[in-house]
Amino acid sequence: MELIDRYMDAVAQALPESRRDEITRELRANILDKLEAIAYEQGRAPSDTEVSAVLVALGHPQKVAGSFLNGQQLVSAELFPLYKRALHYGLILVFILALIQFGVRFLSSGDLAIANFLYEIISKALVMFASVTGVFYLLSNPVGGKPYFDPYSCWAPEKLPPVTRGWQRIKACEQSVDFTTDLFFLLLLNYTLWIPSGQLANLTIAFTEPVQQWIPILSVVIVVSLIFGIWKLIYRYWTVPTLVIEALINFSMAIPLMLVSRLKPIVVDISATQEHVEALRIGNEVISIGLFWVGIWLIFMAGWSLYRAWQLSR
Amino acid sequence: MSDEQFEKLRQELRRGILVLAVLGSLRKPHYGYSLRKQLQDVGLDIDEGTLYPLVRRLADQGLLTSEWQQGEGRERRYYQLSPEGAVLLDSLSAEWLQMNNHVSKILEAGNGTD
Repeated sequence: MELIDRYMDAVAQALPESRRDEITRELRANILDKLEAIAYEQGRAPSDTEVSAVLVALGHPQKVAGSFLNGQQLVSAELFPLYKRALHYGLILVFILALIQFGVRFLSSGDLAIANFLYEIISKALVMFASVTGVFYLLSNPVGGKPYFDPYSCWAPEKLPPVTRGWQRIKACEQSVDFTTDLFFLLLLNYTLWIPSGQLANLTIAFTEPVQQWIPILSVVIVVSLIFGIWKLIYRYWTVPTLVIEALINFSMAIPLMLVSRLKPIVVDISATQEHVEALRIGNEVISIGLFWVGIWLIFMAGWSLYRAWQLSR
Repeated sequence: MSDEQFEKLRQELRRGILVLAVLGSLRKPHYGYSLRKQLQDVGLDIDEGTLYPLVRRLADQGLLTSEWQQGEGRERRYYQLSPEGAVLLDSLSAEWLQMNNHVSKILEAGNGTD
């Protein structure tokens, strides 16, 4: 009996308290019935070895307890695709938040804290993972067994993406990189709007006057690109109109960038000491060349989008 | 086909049928071990780790009623088909017979062409 007691205790530990007594009471009765049958066949009380064999045949206590818990699982197979997508978007959000934090810190203190950036991403990602999994656990194991909602009820074949070519589908990863880049540059260009005035006074570099005149135009294009990016996160496929809009945005972004790349210097040292002259000269060269080639790349992408729009419209 | 594949598909095939077999057996009251014996006697050997939780699940769904009874110095939980379970059993039985009929025709037709 001692073996049975130990087994029942191990099973009980793996059961929720509300069902513990009921299940172990019944399981014990079933085990005793089986041992009684053995005793009847053998004509003697079962040995400890036989009791052990009966318990082994029944299964590991945790497995047995789990089988009584009505298929409890962290995330149900039905909700798993949705869970994966939620994690994907969660990671994008985490990356954007960490990047904004990194940008704010860099611009306000000049501290290029890469280790801190990685720490922020990992810690936020873990919190996001736990939160999303927790929500899906509750959705996968509803109280009373009746699902709270059916995520797949609202659909119609007519609403499925009209995709005929593989490249028409927009990958969430690419889209999130575009979105994050846009957001980062919008914040960078308009740092005077959100950096506290105390920290603003301590900045050592700033855009030159001619470059600042382009900031409103670039900001408007980036905001349009961001709004369009949200649209693409929801409707993740290319159509002729969206490809044309994409081309227009890329072109509208490329021209100012290429013009700004000609306005050397782009950034100037505004510190009292003026000690970064050489570093700033190199920095201006790099930024200028970088902006020019980004502009060329955007023009190429605009042309590529128009080519694909032409392909689709045929 | 490997033995592993066969075993996996065999278990899938049995899973649905077990519910029908258990509901059908519980037209008369049984406790866990006696139910298993009854199923074994007709050729359905179900391991305890599958049978007992299945019976509990069916009871939780209201398809079985249960009652603790004292007998031979020990207590046992007896299960029996509830009125709701009886209605479901009739529908499932009709469905099973129909399905079995259709599948038999397919299998017989397959044998005929060989």
